[in-house]
Amino acid sequence: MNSTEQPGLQRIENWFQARQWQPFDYQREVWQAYLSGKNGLLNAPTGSGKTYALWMPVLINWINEHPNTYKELADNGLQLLWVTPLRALARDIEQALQKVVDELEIPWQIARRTGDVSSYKKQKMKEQMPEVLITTPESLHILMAQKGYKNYFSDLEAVVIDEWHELLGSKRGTQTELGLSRLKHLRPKLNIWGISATIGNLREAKQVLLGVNDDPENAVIIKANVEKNLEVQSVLPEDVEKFPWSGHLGTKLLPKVLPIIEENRSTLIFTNTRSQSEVWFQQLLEAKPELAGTIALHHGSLSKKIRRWVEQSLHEGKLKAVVCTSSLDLGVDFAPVETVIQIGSPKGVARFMQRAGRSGHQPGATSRIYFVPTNALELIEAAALKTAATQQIAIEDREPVVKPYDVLTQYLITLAVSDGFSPNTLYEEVTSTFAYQTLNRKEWNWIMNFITTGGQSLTAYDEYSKVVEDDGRYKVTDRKIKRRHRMSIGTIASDTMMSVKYLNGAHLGSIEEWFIASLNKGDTFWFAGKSLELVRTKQMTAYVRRAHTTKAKVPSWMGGRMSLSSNMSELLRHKLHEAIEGSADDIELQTIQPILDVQHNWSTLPDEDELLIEQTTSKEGHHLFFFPFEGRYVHEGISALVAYRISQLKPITFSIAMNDYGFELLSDKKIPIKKALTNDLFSDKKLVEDIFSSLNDTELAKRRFRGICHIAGLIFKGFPGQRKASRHLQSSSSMFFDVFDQYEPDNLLLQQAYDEVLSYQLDEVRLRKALRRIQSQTINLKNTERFTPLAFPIMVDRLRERLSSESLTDRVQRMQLQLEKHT
Amino acid sequence: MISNASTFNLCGNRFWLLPERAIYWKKKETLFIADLHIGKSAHFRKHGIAVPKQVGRSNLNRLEQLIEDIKPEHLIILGDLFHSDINKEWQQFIDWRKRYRQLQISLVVGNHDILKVERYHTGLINIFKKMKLEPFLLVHDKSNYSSADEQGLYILSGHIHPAAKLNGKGRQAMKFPCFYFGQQYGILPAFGTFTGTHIISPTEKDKVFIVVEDKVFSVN
Repeated sequence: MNSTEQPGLQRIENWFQARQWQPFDYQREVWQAYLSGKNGLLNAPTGSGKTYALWMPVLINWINEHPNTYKELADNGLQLLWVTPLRALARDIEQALQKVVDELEIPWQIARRTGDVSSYKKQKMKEQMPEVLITTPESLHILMAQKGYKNYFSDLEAVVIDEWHELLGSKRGTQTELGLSRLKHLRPKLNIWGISATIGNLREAKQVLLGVNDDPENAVIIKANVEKNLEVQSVLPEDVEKFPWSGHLGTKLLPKVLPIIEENRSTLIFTNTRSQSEVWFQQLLEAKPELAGTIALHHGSLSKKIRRWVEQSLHEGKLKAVVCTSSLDLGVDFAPVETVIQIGSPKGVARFMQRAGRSGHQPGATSRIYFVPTNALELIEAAALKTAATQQIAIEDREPVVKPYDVLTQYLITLAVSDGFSPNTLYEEVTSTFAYQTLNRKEWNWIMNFITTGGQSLTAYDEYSKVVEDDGRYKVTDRKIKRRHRMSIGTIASDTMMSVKYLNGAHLGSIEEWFIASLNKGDTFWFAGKSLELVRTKQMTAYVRRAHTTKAKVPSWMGGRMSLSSNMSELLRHKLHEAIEGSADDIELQTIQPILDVQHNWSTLPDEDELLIEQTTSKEGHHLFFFPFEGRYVHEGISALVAYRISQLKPITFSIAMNDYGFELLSDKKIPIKKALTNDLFSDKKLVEDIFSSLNDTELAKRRFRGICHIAGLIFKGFPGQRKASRHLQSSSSMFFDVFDQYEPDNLLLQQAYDEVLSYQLDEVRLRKALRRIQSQTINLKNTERFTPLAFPIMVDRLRERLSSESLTDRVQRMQLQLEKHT
Repeated sequence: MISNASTFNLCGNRFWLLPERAIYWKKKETLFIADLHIGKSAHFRKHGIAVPKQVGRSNLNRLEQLIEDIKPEHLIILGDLFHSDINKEWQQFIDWRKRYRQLQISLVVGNHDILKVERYHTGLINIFKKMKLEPFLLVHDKSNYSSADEQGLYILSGHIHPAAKLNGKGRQAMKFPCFYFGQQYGILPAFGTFTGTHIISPTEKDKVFIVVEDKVFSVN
């Protein structure tokens, strides 16, 4: 690349020089590829200068093409679309991009369009698009639901999808694919780039980003080889015998976390759930009141004002510590962060590395992360993580979502709401995406029929109306339906939220409606790191005042039940083997030894070549514990399969619980396990058939259907502030599930629920692999007198799946009515 | 023909609790149902939400079957007969109603019953805010009434779509739609399909009957 022929490159090189910076080799490599018209995927971690890698070539190109006029103010139209998964990141990116154009005296306008931006600003944007728009996948689709949206993109040169690895494995990724397919159609020469952290399947990530029609010659993967040293240290309990066998809060080790916070200039404390972060924040303050004012809380339910303040204070180095959730996983660098603390299992190597990377940002600096186990068994995970993190192995894949009908349904309505679409052209476009490459005409027609006739032939009594044909184009004409659709674009199904405000109107954040509904006036709860008293609720707002008690409820947000990745599971099994063999010198394994001894004495410690099954009874009934160590998701599948196969031997009802190490079958009747074991219990023959049969007896598909209902627009949560108007349209996904199941069993959305269970929860490939592994193992059936250290954490889990081969009438007759609790 | 029903004596009157989620008071040849929500599926479909339209038809079919089986003189609906503002399922219902002219139909108006009064009248349906049928007072939502204010009449109502939760050994739990009879009021399960349920918390003094498939069970 000759910089004399490229005034733009010259300008940018000068800009770097003026700052006494030197562009990294990989940055130059990206510039060159971009300028030669290539698409690509940049593999770079947070804090490596990835933003400049893709921002600079856009500017270089602009200056090259407008060498004499680039400093002049003009209506250039939208040049660059920057898509980020997190709203919170948009502002940081905006500032970073703005700084560069200001210094280069390029009078470009840089703006955000996310759910956080006021509708006034959005309206102004419609009249004149900025040169750079930073947005989320959802907001991109909302743009596409506006009349005349094509005009917004008529000058578009490039799209950058930031943190692509975060989007890739979810339906937001599919939404991004669809958005890109539309933009490519509008602007065939569009430059498309993704930025991804390290994942196992980078090549596939690139293909998903660019679609199936992309010429591989025209696309590159560029890796940023930015060296980073990682130091992992576990925080260990003094007396492991008193350390709990189960639980996930981990506050027992809080006294040992305090000195870490004190010794470091600035620390990020990652927790796995929002409630855990509230509890930690509160207990840190209780243990050390002088921390008040220097520590803060950050999670997704807090108001953007509070979140912004925390982020800003972090930037300015004003905070000693921030307790956070995945809300701070990503983002532009918080330069002053010295240390990261991870509370509880991060469940996967990639996430752990990402979080570790949030500290010591300067290239070459050492990232330091402390792991705080929340129960005894997590010490084994700690040892496994340490091995994985330091040896740079076993980074997980992010599997792209394949052919979700709900996302496509939503997308078609989005286009019908704005300018309408003609089915034949759109079909070609949609099937050019990775996600829908196998979508056949029959499926397409079903979805078209679903949105035009409600899935059925119209008859005299039917008034179905949604998408209507108008001269070959399919449109939504009803204003109410348009408005409702624009309100519900997105693929993240969340509960109805209520905003939490002080009496003077100051906004604290939002909490799930069901939690507020469980409170009475005068009850206190912890939120935003404060103890609050509920004063009253009005429409969708809960008014609160400060309470002066520390005895308050903590909202327990759902979710946070991630599964151990298969790589982590394998590492874990190997660590256990090392512990049995005594070949490991990990301090974590030495610490947990007394607990492993208890397990060994009461039952056995299963080695890699055996499957341990423990059998015991309690006043609750007959318990069977299986320990395949395959992670929660695989256990979901195996437990349903095993329960189903046993239930075929005699009429029996099971309550099933699981964690990452094993699963439990609990029944009020004796479980014929010996007979089952001689009957090929773990065979992988008839696997799919048996799994399907077991699905009909569990709630797995029904639960999956909830998200699908929201995305496909069957459930509408109401307009903000005016819920009553839509009350007659209230329903629940389980009601839909039941009526579809009864009247439209071939409904594709219903099929999708089953498919999703099979491919995400009961991942057939992983399941088959696990079963084969079990078949090669020796089965060790132990009768235990009490719950062992391995069994106990599963036994206490309240979240349970059920499976039965008994008739309802038989079951009911052994049950009792739940009466009002006497308080 | 009445099958699979349970009988229950309420204030000295013998009630048949039917698995169709209805009560038959034989002495008065009166059938009680609550919360039909006719028109709900059509209302959803009209607003672009694709509920299978057979749902509406099935509500009517079930009602017809019940009327054929029981042959009551009087059908009393404890509110929420029609789900929303007018749509074509109303006409479908009225067409059906006119085939059973000899059947007297009374509606105690519920919060969903927002159609104009004339529509009920031309549909040959008597409407009431509350209805006295000694020793009972029939209302839609019992929370607006108390037995003490109504000369000690026992209140029969609908509105909440009650369900009861049952627990068993081995951490088993299930919920079923139910009939609830407390000291001063009783609540009927919702008759309509595609309606949700609300789990009630009865005390030991209350009587609860659950509907399991095609049977009615007393559970306490």
